[in-house]
Amino acid sequence: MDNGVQLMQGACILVLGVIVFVLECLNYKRGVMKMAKYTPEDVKRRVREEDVKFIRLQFTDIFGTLKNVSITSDQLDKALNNQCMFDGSSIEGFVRIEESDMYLRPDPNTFAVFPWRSQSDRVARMICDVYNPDGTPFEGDPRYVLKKTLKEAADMGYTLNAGPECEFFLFQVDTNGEPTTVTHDNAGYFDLGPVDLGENARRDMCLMLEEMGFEIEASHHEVARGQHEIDFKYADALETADNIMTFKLAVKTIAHQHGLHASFMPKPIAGIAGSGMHTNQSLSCNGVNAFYDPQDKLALSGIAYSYIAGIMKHIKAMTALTNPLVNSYKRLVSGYEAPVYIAWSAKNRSPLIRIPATRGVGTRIELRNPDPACNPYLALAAMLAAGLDGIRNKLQPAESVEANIYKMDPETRAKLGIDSLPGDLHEAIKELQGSELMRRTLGEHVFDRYIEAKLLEWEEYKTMVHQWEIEQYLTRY
Amino acid sequence: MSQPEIILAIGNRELGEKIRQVLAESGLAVSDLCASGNEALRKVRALRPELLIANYELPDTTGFEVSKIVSGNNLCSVILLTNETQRGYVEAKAYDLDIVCLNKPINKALLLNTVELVMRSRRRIRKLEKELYEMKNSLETRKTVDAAKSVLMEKLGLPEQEAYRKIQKQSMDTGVPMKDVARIIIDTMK
Repeated sequence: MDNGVQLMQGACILVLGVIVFVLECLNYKRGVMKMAKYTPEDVKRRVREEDVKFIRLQFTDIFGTLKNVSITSDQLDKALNNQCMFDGSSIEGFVRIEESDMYLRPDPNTFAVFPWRSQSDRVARMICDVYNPDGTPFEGDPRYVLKKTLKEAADMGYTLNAGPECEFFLFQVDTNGEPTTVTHDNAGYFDLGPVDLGENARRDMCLMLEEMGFEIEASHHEVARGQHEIDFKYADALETADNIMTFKLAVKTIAHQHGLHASFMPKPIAGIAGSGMHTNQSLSCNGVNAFYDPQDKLALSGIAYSYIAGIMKHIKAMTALTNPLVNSYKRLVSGYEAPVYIAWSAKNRSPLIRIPATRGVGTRIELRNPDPACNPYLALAAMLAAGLDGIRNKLQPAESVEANIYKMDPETRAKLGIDSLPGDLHEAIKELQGSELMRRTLGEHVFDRYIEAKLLEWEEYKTMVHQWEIEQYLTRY
Repeated sequence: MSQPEIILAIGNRELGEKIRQVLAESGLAVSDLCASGNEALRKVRALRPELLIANYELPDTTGFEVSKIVSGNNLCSVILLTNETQRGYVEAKAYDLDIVCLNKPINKALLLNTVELVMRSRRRIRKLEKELYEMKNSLETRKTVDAAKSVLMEKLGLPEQEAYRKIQKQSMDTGVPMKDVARIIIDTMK
């Protein structure tokens, strides 16, 4: 009898001990996790603590437009269990009507509460991956395309770091709420002397972005009237692509709150500089910058040279992705600091690829043709794929060009082997169509849909009668 | 006391002018009459008035959207001209924002009273905000100076009085606020 009681007591103590141990472990684990990134539990806690009412589940279509499904906070569990469904056939370039059910899988690491101070209810967002009903990733999801390419790089031992420099215009909105091309700086009706009215908006944008966890490196007025640039810190490619989408949303939202319209259109006004999105990139291998080699005369490694060569080899094919609009090619003309010719340089600022002077961990290359209208997931995937192709095949770039290419005559350019970027969207699509590497990188689905849609866009543009034609010909003929 | 600046955002020019006149008769100056919400936003941001009076219906957006932005960013006080339904909606959605609804048709005496009341409470809140800011600031200074003091005591072996005196003197000699001197000491010596 006594023995039995003692045994029971012993067992109880043992069980209690085990429970305490497990709890300790759980606590420990939670502590570590919190230091790393968000877990679904963290997301739920923050939604509760910050009294978030709505959660936007965001994803991007293949043309780079941000889409979202809005859910109330009561649906959060369902969303975090990947059970949120939407009709994929309604999204341009996604799927046909027969296969329309798609699932959203939110990435808890991308959880952010929108800091705009004009909403009665707190709204948060998560960026999602798109999945098929059978649980496989949807191959038309641009984020998946980038992830796939990043995986390829990881298999070779590399991670891609990217840092964009996004330019945009701030325009006034007219009485009916339609955006105009009147810039905010030179609108005479509101003369307040030296106050740069865009600057207030830009400052607010920086503050909001910082509240969303961005590290703003620089923000300034750009060359053209009403043109601005905000640079944020580089990150690994997936985060950067997510950041670019968030950035555009934040900039547009804050502009709206200032009675302005922010446009990322590459060349909104003829005759003045357009908006680009120079993309700084470097590969790192085990945390070390793989582009840096102090022995080389430019302190660039063989990997860096091959990466440059790869990009130069495939640039014509990927221009349709980095410069996706009819309008993009009106930026890529000489005279406005936008690149036209395929060359690289460590000194000159005008060629396609520039090597900024920083060395060591900061060694990187800057690709200067992308514009902010691109789908950042697809554009980064294309750049990385091209660079990796260069590394895999140990390509060597042509000699760097230090002279001003714009001042060369065609013969000199031909002698130096300097080719030029596609002149219009049609040329770019043709180049894309012929590229095996791009087909593989984008996957059949995105590749076909993208080309189909872009050809249609080109056809539409071609058959349209433009204002310029009316002005030139109507009275003359 | 200086006259408060008021901006009107009303699509209907006639109504706008009428309100402007009513306010003018009581010595209240309207600095601008805007025809759209976007224009009002731009002007409020540039001119920083004390009060915006907006009509609920505007040609490009709603007065409520404009009010939320103006009030949410604490740009100025807002009186929103509404009907009964709109008022119910606004008060349910934006109870924590500084938006006062005034039902149409507008009664002259009520309008003037409301403006008066809003301006008065705004001044009071401004004063309290300023006091709060100053208190926060001095608390912050004290905390930083204390921290710097203990750094000095620890690293240089100074007694408390002397450590404090050192910070104070440095601040007076260089014309840099004590808080900043303390910050520098903490950053460089710790």
